[in-house]
Amino acid sequence: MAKTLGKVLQEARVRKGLSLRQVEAKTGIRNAHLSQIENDKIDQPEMSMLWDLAALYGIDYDRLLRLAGYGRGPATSGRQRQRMTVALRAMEELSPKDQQEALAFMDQLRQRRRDEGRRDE
Amino acid sequence: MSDQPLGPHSKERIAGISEALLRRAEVIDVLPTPMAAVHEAAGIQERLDISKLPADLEAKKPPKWKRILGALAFRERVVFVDRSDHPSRVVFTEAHEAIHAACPWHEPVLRLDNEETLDGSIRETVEAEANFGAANLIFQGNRFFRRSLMDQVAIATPLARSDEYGASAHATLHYYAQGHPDAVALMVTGRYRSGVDGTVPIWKTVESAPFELRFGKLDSRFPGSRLSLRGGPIGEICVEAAKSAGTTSAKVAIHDRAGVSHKFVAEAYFNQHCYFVLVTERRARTLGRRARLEIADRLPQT
Repeated sequence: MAKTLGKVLQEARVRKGLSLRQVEAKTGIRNAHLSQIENDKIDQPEMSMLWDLAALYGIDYDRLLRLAGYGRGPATSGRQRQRMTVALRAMEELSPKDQQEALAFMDQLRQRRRDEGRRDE
Repeated sequence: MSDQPLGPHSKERIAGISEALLRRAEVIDVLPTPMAAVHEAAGIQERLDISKLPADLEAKKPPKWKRILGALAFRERVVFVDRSDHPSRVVFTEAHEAIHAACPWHEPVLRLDNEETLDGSIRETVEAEANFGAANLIFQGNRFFRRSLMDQVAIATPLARSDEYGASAHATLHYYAQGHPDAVALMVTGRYRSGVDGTVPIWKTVESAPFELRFGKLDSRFPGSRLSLRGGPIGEICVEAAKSAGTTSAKVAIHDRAGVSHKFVAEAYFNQHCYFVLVTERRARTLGRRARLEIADRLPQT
């Protein structure tokens, strides 16, 4: 049976030899809140909280995001990871096609500036 | 502006990240916050103006290019900003991208979005976190309130200070209401009335923590999240504000969660795009200097 988020976090904490209070001291995450997460009473903790726990326990953040339900499907082969990861801010919601076109264009712009910089050297 | 509510841990982390950036950039109490220094502190390697394109690329730009305000390429540490935009929006975009660069969980979350389609609310949360941090960078955390609280609790106070911070009236009013230690709330509405009932849409309300604790959400008092401009004190002061180019006010009563009535002052301001209404408790208004709002400075922001 697949482990829940709470179980994964609890096992990781215990492996590190940390008490709930020690985790609170290091991360600011209230020990009562963490206990609720570990007991699966909270199934989608804040993304920032999962990051801090992943960093403290030395476990994979992507896995925690998926266990918390932030990702919809299984991990891909990783081939898409080669795409530029961009945070895009626009006046309106852009379609995936519009976003892709914008990102590709930004990449071109960046390459052009880089080439111009090399020519100036 | 994404107003997805943020959890307490995220707010604390992002406020801490913003403060660390300000300190690392050595720009504490330097106003407006120099974003170039903040970008350097955030490890940004390059800042590109997307409004200035080489002639051949100009011809090839995608159809929706003009809708883009800015972007951050995480691994490459490059910020793209449209510098032809209004200065206060450029500042906000730069601050927004700096927070994306500095929040270590943003890249993995958005990378997950590259690989799988994330729930839209998750992307909205990431954007809301960047907006929250951006405001902290622009207004430098609680230092804004240390200065503002010397002035009267009134709409003129944030309006008079917005230029000092390089921020829009909207962003300044939002930050003021959100973090104020007294019971203060802001309403932002659209300007175009429905032909049927003369109401305007309430886009958002922002409540200080004491206001929300005692009175709940301001917009819960307005059915369908619409404000009538045809009657009622708040509608009337909005109509007057649109004619006056300054601010207008009226006394109103707001009931708390226990149903007890409290005296408030509602003040309205119109920036040619939307109506802003700030409600402040009358007893909180007696202290502080009255901020002078230079009407000539309050030209419409395009």
